[in-house]
Amino acid sequence: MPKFALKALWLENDLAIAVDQVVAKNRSPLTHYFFWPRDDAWEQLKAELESKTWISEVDRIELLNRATELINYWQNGGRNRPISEAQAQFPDILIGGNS
Amino acid sequence: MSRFTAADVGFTTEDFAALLDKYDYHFSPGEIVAGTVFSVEPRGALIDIGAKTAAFLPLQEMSISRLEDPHEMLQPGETREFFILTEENEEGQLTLSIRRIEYMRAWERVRQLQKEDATVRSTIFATNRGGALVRIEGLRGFIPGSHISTRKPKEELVGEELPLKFLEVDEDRNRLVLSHRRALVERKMNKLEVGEVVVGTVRGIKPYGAFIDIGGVSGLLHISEISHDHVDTPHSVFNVNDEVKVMIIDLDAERGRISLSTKQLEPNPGDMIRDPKLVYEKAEEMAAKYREQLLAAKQGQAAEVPPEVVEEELEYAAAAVE
Repeated sequence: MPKFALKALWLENDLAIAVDQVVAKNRSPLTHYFFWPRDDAWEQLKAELESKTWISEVDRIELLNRATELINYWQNGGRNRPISEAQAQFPDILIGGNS
Repeated sequence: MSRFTAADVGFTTEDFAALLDKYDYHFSPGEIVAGTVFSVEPRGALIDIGAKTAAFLPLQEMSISRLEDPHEMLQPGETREFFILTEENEEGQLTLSIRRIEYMRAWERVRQLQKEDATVRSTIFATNRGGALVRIEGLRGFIPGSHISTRKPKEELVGEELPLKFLEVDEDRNRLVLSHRRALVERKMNKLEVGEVVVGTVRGIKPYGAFIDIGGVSGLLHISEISHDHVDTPHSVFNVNDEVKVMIIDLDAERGRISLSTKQLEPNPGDMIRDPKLVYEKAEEMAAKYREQLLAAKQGQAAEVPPEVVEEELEYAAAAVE
């Protein structure tokens, strides 16, 4: 069972990504939102996760890889598709936002 | 510690004790530290944060959410961050909180979302006389009744998921206020334009004007925008459920307001009072003229005044066009 999960928000011009810590069915916020492409969400997320030395490398890499997949999806037209489609593609990520 | 090799001759046990004291980390309230869950008990959990004694996390400090059982939040052996709530007591035990961290991070996220003017979706979990309650990032948010745009009676809204925008985010006063209307109007506004004619239905009549439903959102046809002739009360022109044609004269996304006019559609002043059907028949034609005037005003002014003034001037012009 994963201990961490991403949370994302489709905004007008950006994708917002945050990390939650997951215990049982409970999601507890671990980070604030990081924005892409306005900011380099991926680099910022990496730095934030590295600063939390108690998070294992395996978990950190898994989260960053997932973030990469989401950013790629959003970048390659996903931003203009309905959120329900994105949600089906990434069932482990809580996706919100417009439309 | 690897620095202290056999070469460090003269390192006594006293030195070692002093060194230990020096590195005995002092935990202060307000700090956030990582810790590992040692044991979970019905009324709280014991956490190893590297202090001399395991720290205590009371059940009520475990989460923003109400927990029936601490295991919903914590499992033994798990590592996470904790907020230091109080100093060590006589037994040397610190009190911890996760709830504080959750509040801090939730408010931070909500402030970010407000700054983005993001639309969020949430499900109503309760209603009261003033409006409805939702959870946003785990925080309790309030939607005032005047900001809920649905035809369902308020009592039936529990369980309904709505798109929402932020009206007020104030951590100090613990106020998180949202608007359903703003989220809807914004979506609708993206598809609407000033000068466009739309078909709508009269939903409500007030002394100051009529509320017209245009495809799911409500716009105001102010009494002064009904006709060029004087109108005593909107009742003299409209009845509830009348189908009408109106022109959009202003879109205010900030306040979620759509302003409408039939006055600007009158071929002759007073037609709305004498024969609304005639006005509706010629609506598109009159609207085309209105748009031309608007464009001419824009171009005329653009030639004379700096661009930043034009926007403002235009709004006045739009309001004043007769």
